[in-house]
Amino acid sequence: MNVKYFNKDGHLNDQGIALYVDALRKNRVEQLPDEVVDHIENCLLCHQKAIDLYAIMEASGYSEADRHPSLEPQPARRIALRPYWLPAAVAAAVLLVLSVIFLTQKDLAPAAGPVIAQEDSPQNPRPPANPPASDSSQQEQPPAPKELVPPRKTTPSPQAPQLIAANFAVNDELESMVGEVYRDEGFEALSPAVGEDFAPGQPINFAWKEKTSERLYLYILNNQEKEMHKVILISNRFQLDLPLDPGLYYWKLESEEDLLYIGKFNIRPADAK
Amino acid sequence: MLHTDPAALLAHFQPIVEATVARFIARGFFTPADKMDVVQTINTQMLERKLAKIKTHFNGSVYLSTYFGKVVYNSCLEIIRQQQRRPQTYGDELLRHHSESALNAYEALAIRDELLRYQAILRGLSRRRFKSELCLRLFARILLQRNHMAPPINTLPKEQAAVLIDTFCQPYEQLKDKEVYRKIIVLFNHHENRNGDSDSLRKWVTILVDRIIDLLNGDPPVAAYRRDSLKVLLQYYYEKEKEDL
Repeated sequence: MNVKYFNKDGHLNDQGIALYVDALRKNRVEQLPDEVVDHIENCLLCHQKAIDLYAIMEASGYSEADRHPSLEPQPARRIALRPYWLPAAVAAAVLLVLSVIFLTQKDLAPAAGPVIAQEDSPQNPRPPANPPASDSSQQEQPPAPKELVPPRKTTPSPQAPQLIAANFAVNDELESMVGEVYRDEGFEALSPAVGEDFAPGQPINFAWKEKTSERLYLYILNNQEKEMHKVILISNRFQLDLPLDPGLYYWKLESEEDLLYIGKFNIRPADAK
Repeated sequence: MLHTDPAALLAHFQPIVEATVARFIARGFFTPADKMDVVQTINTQMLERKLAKIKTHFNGSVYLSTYFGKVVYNSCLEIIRQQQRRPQTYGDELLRHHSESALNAYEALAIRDELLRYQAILRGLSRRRFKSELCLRLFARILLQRNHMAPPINTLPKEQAAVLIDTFCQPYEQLKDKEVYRKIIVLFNHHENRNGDSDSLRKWVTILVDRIIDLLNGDPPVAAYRRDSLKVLLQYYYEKEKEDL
């Protein structure tokens, strides 16, 4: 039994109930540990508590945009499993080493911005683009090794273009599905056009034709398949006003049962326009 | 914030505290006049000891907001036990006799709570959801559309598909359970590549319905569903499903 989620009486503890509720809210019940699902199916009390908490959390309107710590796979692990990512990974590693050599040769002083920490990895998730001024989570970041830390500069650091470029790398899994309509009939994506460019902060209009008027789920994913936004819709249009960092994004439209469509768009840096 | 500024975390999660208390008011455990007192009691408990406990026990494997929500839910249950509050249990009368415009805010909240709890049950069905939800619609004699029987109806022989559409896409309240399951078993056998009988399906649906009734009636009890009154909730839910709950 996974002690993280069970108390001494063999019932789900608060963390176990919360995990089940997170899975319900993210439609990821299949990612739950088997013992949690088995317990819920056999324990009326725990199941009742879980559905109560689900209803409360939904009613509160509070939702988390971050990747779930247990239910959503680490993007870096999935990349490692794909052989066709190897050339890109090798190139990134070479660039990283060259950057380090460049920086150490310049005998640069330590500075506040741990740019190396922005490389995506399970140990060092990328910090938000615009962190709050007194974000305590930053204090909990392990300090970057001094020789890897770039100087405090007013001009962009040498790594910045590479990092932005990484945000535009295509996601092979999603890419193979872009533009396909997965419904037999009656569905047509209208906007944005596949690969359309937008400026940061520019509203993006999503629209499609759909014969039925069922409830649909629109997901905005970055190129690492991280969910940036989710909205439940009963209309066939939606305007996204979310400020997104420059990069390649995918949008996915699903009904309760089916995947309907996957499209993509780019947020181009202001100076690229 | 949990480690550096617990008071700010409490302020950040205040919508969760208020939604939890409002839910217990809607279910009749507290009166609307109690709301600020209960919210204040929970906030005080949080600041005095529970946030410190969260800091110790939270292992980062779930969203902090959900874990926090569970702690607030527990706090409400503790207050209810201490004050020996008794809920108002709803049957189907709230759904049946009130038009939406006649509902007060807490009655509307109680109905939404009911619909969301049913939604949670459906989501938990995961891979069994298609079969379960179709059977629940049939149990409540809800008019079907072809897509409710898809995808298996798309590959069913045309004559068999036509029988299902002719039967269930127009009113069929008069059909007996036995007849309903005798017709729909064809679809499930085709979908699951097996040869089940309609009587087993009927028993399976009975167990499913009883489980849903037990779940919705709750502990502490918040509803008094029976099989007939569950049908009213299902009809209401599927009538509202096109809206964002």
